[in-house]
Amino acid sequence: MPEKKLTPYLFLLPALAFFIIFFIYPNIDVFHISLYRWTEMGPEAFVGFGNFGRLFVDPAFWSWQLWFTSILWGVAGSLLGMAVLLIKGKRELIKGGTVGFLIGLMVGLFIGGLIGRPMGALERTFIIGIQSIFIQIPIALVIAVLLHGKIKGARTFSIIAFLPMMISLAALALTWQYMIYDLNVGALNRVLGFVGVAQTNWLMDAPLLSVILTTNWIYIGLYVVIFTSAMKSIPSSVFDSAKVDGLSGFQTIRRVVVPHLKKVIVLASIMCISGTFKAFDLLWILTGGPGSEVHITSTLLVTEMLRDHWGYACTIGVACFFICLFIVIIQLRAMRIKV
Amino acid sequence: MRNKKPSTLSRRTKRTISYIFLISFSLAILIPLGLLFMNSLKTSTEVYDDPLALPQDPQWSNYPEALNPEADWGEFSIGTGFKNSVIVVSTTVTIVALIAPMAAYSLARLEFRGRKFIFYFFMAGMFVGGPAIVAMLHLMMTLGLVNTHWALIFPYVAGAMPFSILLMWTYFGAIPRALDDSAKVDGLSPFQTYWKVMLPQAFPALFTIVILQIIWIWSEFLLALIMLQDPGLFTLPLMLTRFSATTVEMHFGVFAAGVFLSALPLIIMYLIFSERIKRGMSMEFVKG
Repeated sequence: MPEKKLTPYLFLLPALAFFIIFFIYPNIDVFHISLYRWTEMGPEAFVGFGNFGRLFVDPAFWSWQLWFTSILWGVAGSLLGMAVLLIKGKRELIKGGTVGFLIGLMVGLFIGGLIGRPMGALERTFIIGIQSIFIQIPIALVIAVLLHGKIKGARTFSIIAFLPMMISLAALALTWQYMIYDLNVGALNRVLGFVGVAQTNWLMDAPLLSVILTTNWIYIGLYVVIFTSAMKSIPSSVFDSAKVDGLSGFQTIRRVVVPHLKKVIVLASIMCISGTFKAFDLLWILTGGPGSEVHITSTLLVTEMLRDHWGYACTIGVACFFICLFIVIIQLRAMRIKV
Repeated sequence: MRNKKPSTLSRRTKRTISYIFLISFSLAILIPLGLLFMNSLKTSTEVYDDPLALPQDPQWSNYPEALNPEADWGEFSIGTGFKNSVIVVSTTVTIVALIAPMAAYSLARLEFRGRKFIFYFFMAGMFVGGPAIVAMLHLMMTLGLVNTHWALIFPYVAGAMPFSILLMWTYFGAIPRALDDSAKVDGLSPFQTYWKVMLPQAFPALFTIVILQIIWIWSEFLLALIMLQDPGLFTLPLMLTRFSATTVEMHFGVFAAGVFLSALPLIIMYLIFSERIKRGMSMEFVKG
């Protein structure tokens, strides 16, 4: 019966058609366009990897001097981390080295930015991503543990924590822009005014810091929910024995929760970084769109596109794709080794 | 366990510290949103006077004003944005709900060549994607769909496929085989089996993907920014950015009311289905 053989394919056909035309094809076309000088009117000239060469030396995308010094910081940090572990007599040298490297890298990037070294979109993306790992995940873990401990009102707290995830980033960006950061009506200036801090135009003078604060505010709740649901799979006897052993709250987190949630925590850390490569709305609206000097990779891509540099915009996209791929591979390897 | 220390704090102190921490965190989340609501009930003068004070005489009329397409900020009214968002969201969700379960059913319960390959092909979509925005505009220009709602709907549908299919696939896979057999005995065609027997079984999963799609599309900004030029077609997030630019100086209360209104439908939906949404969304993020 040929009709019967066709049935499964007929069921699949509409979904496959949409998926191939409007998802797979554009994702392949990006690679194609990135090899051309391409404007809104179409291709102008085939330039091969010329766009990539341009990207490599584009200070708006990255500044290699900053990376060079920051990686030195990172190496110093990883050596320090391993030394501390050695003195303490622990064996998890790789972990100490990795954490030390990330912290060192971030310190290097931050200090570089503070002392006015030119900073590109890639550095900003990494700063936002790496700081998320060290701020959002620990806070979310603490909250998740507190909510797990049969506390009254846990449901309400978790509903509130996740609330920002329900509101469009556009609405959240506008809320923060005018309710908190605004020069005249922002709450931040009003409150700081009471203690005598001079009025600051936060989004103009400290755009990266403002974006980081709002980002953390939004996403902590997501990790709270992820960790809470993962913690349900930890048998309650484990917590009971921790109690019998007389472990304090933070000891419970370190000795019981973190080892059990290792996989989820690694995954969440990767999400922090790869998520920043996909983030667009918040920074775009907070810093005022294409006219802004402060870009992350995604907003730089769109800005180049609006300047009618389509080929170059696609090159940025391709570069980010490979950087993300690299991160995912590291993630998978780390998980296989560690878990 | 090595070096165990008996905890030094009493139970009550611990409890109090926990509550202080949780309550200050909740306040940190709620204060910006609370300020937004409070200022949505004020006149502009009141806001610029003291944004932290309670409204003297609540200006509820700010809300209908924000929706009013006849007002000074006319072409950027939140009302038009609502209309467009509802059109785009409902069309997308309908298409997804029609085609994703069908594909998932075929992948989960029918035997055919290339089944595994097609499944992994869809799943690969969860790992790639994102910065293809330029190529998407190129495609839509070729198809002549730029500046129409279809330029949003088609990519939204395609982007929804991997996760929706995965969720439905898991669900269909768990339905007992006996159901297919009895459907065969009853002489139902494959499509009737799917439509009358299987789909009703998978309703909870279908419901979850519908809710998650509504949340995601209601908030989507980048694609709308690139594809739409005519303010009459703007979806809510895009409309908000233009609306704010025209209202914020002279009509701050109206601006805040508009932002608050745009968030309200999802907040209400969240309060009703919070558990399902939290579960589904954390899954979506971990997978993607």
